[in-house]
Amino acid sequence: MSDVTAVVSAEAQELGDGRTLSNRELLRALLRKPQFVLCSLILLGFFAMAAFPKLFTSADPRFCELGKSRQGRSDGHPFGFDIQGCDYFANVVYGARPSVLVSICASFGVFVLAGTFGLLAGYFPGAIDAVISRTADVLFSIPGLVVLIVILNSVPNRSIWIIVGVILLIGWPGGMRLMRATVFSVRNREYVLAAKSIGVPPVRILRKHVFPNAMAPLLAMTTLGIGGMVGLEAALTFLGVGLQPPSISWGSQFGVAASYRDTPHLFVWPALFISTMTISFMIIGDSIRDALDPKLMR
Amino acid sequence: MGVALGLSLVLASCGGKSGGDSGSGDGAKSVTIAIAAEPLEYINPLNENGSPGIQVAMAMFAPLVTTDPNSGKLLNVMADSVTPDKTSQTWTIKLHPGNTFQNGQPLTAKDYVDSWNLTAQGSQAWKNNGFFSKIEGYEALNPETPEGATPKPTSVKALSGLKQVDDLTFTVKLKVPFSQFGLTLQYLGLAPLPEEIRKDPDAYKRKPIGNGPFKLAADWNAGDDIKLAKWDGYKGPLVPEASAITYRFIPNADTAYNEFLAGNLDFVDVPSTKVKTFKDDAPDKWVTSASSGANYLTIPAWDERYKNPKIRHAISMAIDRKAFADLVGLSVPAKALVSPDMDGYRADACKYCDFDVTKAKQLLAEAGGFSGPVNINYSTTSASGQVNAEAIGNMLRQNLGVEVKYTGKTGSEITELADKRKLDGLRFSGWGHDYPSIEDYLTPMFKSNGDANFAHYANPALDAVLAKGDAEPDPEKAIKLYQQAEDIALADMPLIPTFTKSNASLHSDKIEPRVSKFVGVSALWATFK
Amino acid sequence: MIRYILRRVVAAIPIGVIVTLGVYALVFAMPGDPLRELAGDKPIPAAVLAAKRAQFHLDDPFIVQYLLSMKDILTGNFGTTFAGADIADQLRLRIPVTLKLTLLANVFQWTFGLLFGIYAGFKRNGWIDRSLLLATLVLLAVPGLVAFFAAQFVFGVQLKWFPVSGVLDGFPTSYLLPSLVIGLLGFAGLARLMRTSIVETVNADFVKTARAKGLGEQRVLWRHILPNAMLPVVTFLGLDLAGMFGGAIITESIFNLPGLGQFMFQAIKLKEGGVVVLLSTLAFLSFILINLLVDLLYGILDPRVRHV
Repeated sequence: MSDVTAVVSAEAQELGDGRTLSNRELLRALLRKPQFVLCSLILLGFFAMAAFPKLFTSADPRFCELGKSRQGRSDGHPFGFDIQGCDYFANVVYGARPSVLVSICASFGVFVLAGTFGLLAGYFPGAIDAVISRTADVLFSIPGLVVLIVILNSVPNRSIWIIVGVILLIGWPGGMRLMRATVFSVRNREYVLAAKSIGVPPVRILRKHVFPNAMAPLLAMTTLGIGGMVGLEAALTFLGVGLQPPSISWGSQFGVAASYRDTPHLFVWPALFISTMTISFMIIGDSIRDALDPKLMR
Repeated sequence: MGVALGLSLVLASCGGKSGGDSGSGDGAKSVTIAIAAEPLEYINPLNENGSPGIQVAMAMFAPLVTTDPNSGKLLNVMADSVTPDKTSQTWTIKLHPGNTFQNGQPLTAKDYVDSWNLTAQGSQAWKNNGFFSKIEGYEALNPETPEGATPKPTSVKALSGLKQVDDLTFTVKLKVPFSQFGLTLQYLGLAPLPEEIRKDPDAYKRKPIGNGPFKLAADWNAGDDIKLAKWDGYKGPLVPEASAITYRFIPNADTAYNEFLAGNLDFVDVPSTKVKTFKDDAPDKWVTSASSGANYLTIPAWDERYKNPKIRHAISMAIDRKAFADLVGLSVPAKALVSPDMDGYRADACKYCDFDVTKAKQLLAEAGGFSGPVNINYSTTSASGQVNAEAIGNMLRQNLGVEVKYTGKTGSEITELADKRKLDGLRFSGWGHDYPSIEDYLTPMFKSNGDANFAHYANPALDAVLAKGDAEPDPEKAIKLYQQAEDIALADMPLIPTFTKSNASLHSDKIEPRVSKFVGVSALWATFK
Repeated sequence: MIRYILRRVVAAIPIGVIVTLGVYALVFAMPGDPLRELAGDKPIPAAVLAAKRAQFHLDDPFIVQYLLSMKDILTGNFGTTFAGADIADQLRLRIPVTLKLTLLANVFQWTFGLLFGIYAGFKRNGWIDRSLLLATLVLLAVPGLVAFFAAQFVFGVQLKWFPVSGVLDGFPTSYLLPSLVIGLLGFAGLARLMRTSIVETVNADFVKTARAKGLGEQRVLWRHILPNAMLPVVTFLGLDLAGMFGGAIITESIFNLPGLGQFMFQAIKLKEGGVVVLLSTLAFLSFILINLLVDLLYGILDPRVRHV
């Protein structure tokens, strides 16, 4: 594949003028967008919920009376009760932490891994590229869900960190390819060549010139994928390899509730929270990309 | 055969004329039954112990005896009589004359003896092999094999305890007296195979030749529905009214349920996730069975922390069985180790099964408390495993003040760990009888080395009482002895009874399933409206 | 060209070995005894277990089991599953199901994705573009699990527009609903990618040059903009098709489609290393094939790419 991408990228050089924004310019551009501000506030809310759930509810999510199983809302219990008869509002609030952690850590981790490997593979063709690309090929050609199911069935205790780890393992090759292709298009630009010719060390070139100019597509892809991570967590519960109790998470609430369609409040609330968080991430991702990518501003 | 053929032709032409029904053949009396399982790969009752396979085989094969759905008494089907000797050790089985297989061959005692001998050979690896372990000579066909070794071949091909007397009579000699043996003969896994199948079973995996009321209506290839047509050569009692049956395999039970609601099925079992809604989803189209079977929390006998019976009683009394049964749905709390539809069932057999938090805490304190978290294992392969585990866990945590953790694993891994005595903590187990006797609950689960001794429980006193019951020819007295065994087991409490479930099924307007308080709900014997 | 293809195929062999060995090792390392799961509701006697073990070589060391499996795969002698199903039969039945589902889903995804993406790319910031972006956001935010269950319940059970499940109504009726849902969920990403790509290409210098040379709008569109804008999208195709195989596990389970995904899931549950490796090999081969085709497609879209 490398020869193909090389030609493609050679032509992609003509695109763009290589202008980059400084961080301050970027922030100013972003803050001018009302949707960015709004979504950031929403996300801050979710992060606060994940970090300090006690601020949002005084109820104990693990105090349950089976007799109240699946009852609707009542005084002091705005979301009603779950299958176990626990206060559902408290459960949804406490469920934010694993869901936020899984989606953020997995997405950020995939971004870092894919970015780094893509950068290396794209900038150093030859042995490094070969090793990275062939490894990716191996991971690519096994269906990801299969690896997930097999590994999660094998581990003695499924914690969020193991789920994040497995997502990282199967998630990076896709982003790596994208990054690698973008790096191909950037590495022969004038400013990179210029930096090279005056003897700037490769690490600095990568960090200062190549990465900022090549990260936009990967960033867009990552933010679009964050929502999928929470959905994936729900799918794992459906397949019997999700987080196990007493962990509380939106994904497993949702996965369990999918079977109890007759009590819609059980899946409406986590679904609403998942979707709000997802959309916020994606709008933020869109805004960042628009701001970063000068071509789209013309 | 000529008569049968002519009859079906007439029926077929009738169906053609009326043209009202979309079904094939004489469609008016055809039913489509959903089976929520992966498609079967073969039909062979002797190599089948799961409910999907037995359910299909039940239409095509007939047992020796069965339970009369109306009276609950034993009813001869292929047998004319089943008689024990004085000690209940040797049993004589006489077949009803005139029965044949679907290939026209007469059904003889030789067919039974040879089919059973074939199954009893360990090298055949058929699933109902274990049934024959009660018969004299079983060990010669199934030599002890150390774990991991390849089984040694043996030249012995027949059970010494099986003897053909004449064409229609054979005798079974058991290793030890067993008064319930006659009841066990209703297990469909003992159905006979005709000679041509016995010679080359693999060639007939998809071409079963039975002796029951239905036969294959069309070639059955991998992935097909199983289409059955009435076989007119069946001379036994309890002839189903349906003239054609289609079994459709839908592995996801929720999907099968949806298919029914969309009007594509005549009969479906209600999955556990729908027990709260099926009455609204399909008003006037549902039936429920009497509660049957038994469900338990299993205590690991190998874990010293659970050794003290007071700890077990404390756990038992910390469980609100009513609320738990409501959560499971269609269930009633269980306070006995045997199913409520058995002769000899006592509703309040258990003294430590009432929900009493104070007493539970007191018992726990008397036992010196519990160290470390109680781990609850649940099967990730069952839809409700996690939900049930959490419910029990919440009650133990809140009512006893113990720490609780959960482990979700595949069902087979839990069993394997338990068999190796390495499983940490409680797990769920359940049992349904193969033949209606409380003995079929007590022996498998509580006898030392019983087939289904989930807890690895052993108490010589209980074994002795069971042996006495097995040797007791008078049914009433035998039941009394078995009840003593149940009392011993309840005091030691290796299994904590939790609930008994009934099953719900949905049926189309066209049929009314047979509902019997003795044998449950059956679509096969449905009547047509 | 032929040498290029050969080179690619040869390069795939070591990867194939690593993939199959890795998958087999993963399944081998999974806890749980496969035959116990098979036993069904009742315990099975030790003699029967031992006989089954010998039949499926379960007592042999890992590498021997792996080599035996690979030998079976390479000689086309697939044998039976633990439950007694003829594997060759299963493949004959299941491959068409998965293929039909994947193809139909891709048809929907690509039709919607390209049409909306191209339209929105040209009319950027128009109301269609804005509503499209919003729609894709909503679609991307819906977890797949919800979409499948909801679609089955609403369109299958309540409205009866589509069959609820199964493949009894044949192609394409039985496959329409699941493929539509997969297609709609997948189209969101594709449409966005296409839109961005069009925007970038329309503003590219070579397009301006072409216009400046006085070429007609149609010619600019078909000869300059579309082929170039399609390039990143075609890469996406390769990744996406490879992913469909894994994603089909959930779809096939909910819609009761007897395809390879369900087979794979069953095999994993039963720890049938041989079947899992066979299916992984199939997935691997189709992955290699699809990517080869994608690269050849590149050559057609962009004449500067030469495969020598």
